[in-house]
Amino acid sequence: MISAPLPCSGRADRVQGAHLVPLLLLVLALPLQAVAAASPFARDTGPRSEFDASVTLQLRAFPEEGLLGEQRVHPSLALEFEYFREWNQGADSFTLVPFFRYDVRDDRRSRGDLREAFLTHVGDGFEIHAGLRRVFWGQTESKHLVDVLNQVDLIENVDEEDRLGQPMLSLTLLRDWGVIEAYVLPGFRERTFASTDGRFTGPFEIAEARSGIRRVASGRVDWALRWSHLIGEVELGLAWFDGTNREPEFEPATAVEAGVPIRLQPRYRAMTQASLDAQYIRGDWAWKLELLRRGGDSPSHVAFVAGFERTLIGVFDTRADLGLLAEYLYDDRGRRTPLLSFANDVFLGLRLAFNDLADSDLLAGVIVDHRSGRQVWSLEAGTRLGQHWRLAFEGRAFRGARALRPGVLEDLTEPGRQWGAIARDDYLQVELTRFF
Amino acid sequence: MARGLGWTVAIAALVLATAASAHDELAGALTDPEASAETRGQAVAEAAERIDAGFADSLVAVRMVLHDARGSRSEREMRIATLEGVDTGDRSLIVFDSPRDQRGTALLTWNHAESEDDQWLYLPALRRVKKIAARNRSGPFVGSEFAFEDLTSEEVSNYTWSYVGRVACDERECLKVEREPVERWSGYSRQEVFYDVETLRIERIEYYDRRGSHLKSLRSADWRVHADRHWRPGYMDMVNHQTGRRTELFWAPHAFGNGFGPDDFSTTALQRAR
Repeated sequence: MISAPLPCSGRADRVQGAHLVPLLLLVLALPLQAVAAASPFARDTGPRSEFDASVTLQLRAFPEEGLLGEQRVHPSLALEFEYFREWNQGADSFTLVPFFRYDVRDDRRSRGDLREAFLTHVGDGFEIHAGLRRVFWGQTESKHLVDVLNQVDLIENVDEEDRLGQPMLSLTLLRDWGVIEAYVLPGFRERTFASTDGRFTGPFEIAEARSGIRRVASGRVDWALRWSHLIGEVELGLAWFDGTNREPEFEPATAVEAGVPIRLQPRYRAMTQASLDAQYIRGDWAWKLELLRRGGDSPSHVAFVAGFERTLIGVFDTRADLGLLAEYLYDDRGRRTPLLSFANDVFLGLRLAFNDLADSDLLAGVIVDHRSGRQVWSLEAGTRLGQHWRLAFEGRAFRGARALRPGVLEDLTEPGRQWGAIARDDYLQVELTRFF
Repeated sequence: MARGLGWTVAIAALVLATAASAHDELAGALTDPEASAETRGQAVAEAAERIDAGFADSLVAVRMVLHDARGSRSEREMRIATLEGVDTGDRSLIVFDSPRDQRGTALLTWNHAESEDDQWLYLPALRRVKKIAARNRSGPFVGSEFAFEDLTSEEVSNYTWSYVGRVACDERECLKVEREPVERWSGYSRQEVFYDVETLRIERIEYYDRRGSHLKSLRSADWRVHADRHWRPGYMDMVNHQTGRRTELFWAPHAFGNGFGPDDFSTTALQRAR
């Protein structure tokens, strides 16, 4: 959504050291026990270290040039490392996950990120984590609606599955009546967007995300609380988030001129989010729901994703399992939803697990806006080659929305036209990964 | 110190008494001319369960070798932690170490005697825990000839039992028992289970698919014993007669008495399992 210019709530500065003092005090105040319930795999062994690494060659091919004439073939190379060390019979551990990518076309996509760098202490019925971490909340397949702690690393992939490390201090309590997670989130990360050399940004030039950890929108410290529990066959999660909205609003930063890409400035506002996520499994059916209500600086809204996955074992007299997926996506902002979101859509998908020696799998689906007819098709498939390599394919196609014209603001106010921003960004991606 | 030794002796005596009484009761049920095949079959299963009861927990590393019909071969390595249930079913946690693209994937299972099991999968790349349908338990476990239901603990109430008789199995003598899964999601119509007469460990299982055709044979060997009663195989061989595929399991020695608790088998522990 192109929103009106915001009343700016002060310049976003780098987090000052002073913000960390209360956190450190909180850590020190928590009871620490030397021997406690740690990983079952860490008992009676000395300190243990693990090191993993992978290198991925990625090639993205687009049948068409972008709206600003961006190139059709985008090669890149990614490295991911994971270092893990535990001591105290697994009661204490450290995890470090650096990630790097070199992209031939887009300078912004050539960068590094600390996906994770955190300390864990596990005690009797509690856990503490401190540092940069990734935490996932949610159940549905077509959209991760309630997952809010981590910023999306959108420049990695438009599927929103890649996420930036979030600085946090968290306390998890395990009780008979459920798991309580409390998070203090000192600092905020801006969403990454491709430059005008990269794809998926439409006829716009989106201001580059400032790197590093930024001050949160409210000027206070962001926080979140979650309770989750298994009740009979129902997995239930309730959460409250009070902090900076990870989804930006965009305001034009330059005068609009036909033929010239509009420069957009992402703005991040404070919000509160109450959410519920649930899954009910019965036989081969899994019913899924994610529901949220957001309030705060922007007008409040309600959104949900609800649906099912039915798994058929050994279909067509083969070893393969077939999953049939259907979900409905709703957002009460309707046509006012931000760019590239789903307000009133149906998702239909197929998941195939071949159960072969190479762990081959495939996931295909389409998200249809049944009013405008706009469709987002997607396909993901992978197979292992030998013991150390994996080959993966991914493709997406965007149908039914007319391409936006550079510098024509009116296009965006036309109902259902927002997806026209990436109307020419259909692509096929091949990835070859070597694991070490 | 002396008190600790006293307890150890007392527990050892109790353990031996339990094992002896399990055998005595079984002998009673098998020789009782009034007992039906169902009663006798169930008696065998219950005696086997009683002998293995009290293992508390175990930890083991496994190497899985998978062969397809064309002679292709692939390997997987995993570690399995198990907690014996006191009032509940057993709980287990499996972590995959290889192939490398699957490394860190973990599976948590809570067995229930009376209802469907609960099972969660941890996907490390997404840092995501996903609860999965128990129905998936009849499908191939990580591409092998084992279904997940073949690997979970043997709850007596998961089957209806029927005693067949004493038969020779390899060099030994076995009690042959037929069982039919109660769970309607099971991939089997029935199984023939061969218990070693002396130890009541399961030497062999023949599996029959939903149509009643002979599907698979499982053979266990290289037995090791812990505390004179907890028998664990060092080798398992599952052959699928319908596809010609085969899966071998090479088990490292089990470690018992690790002091695991329920918190080690929670969904938060699943995210830390490695």
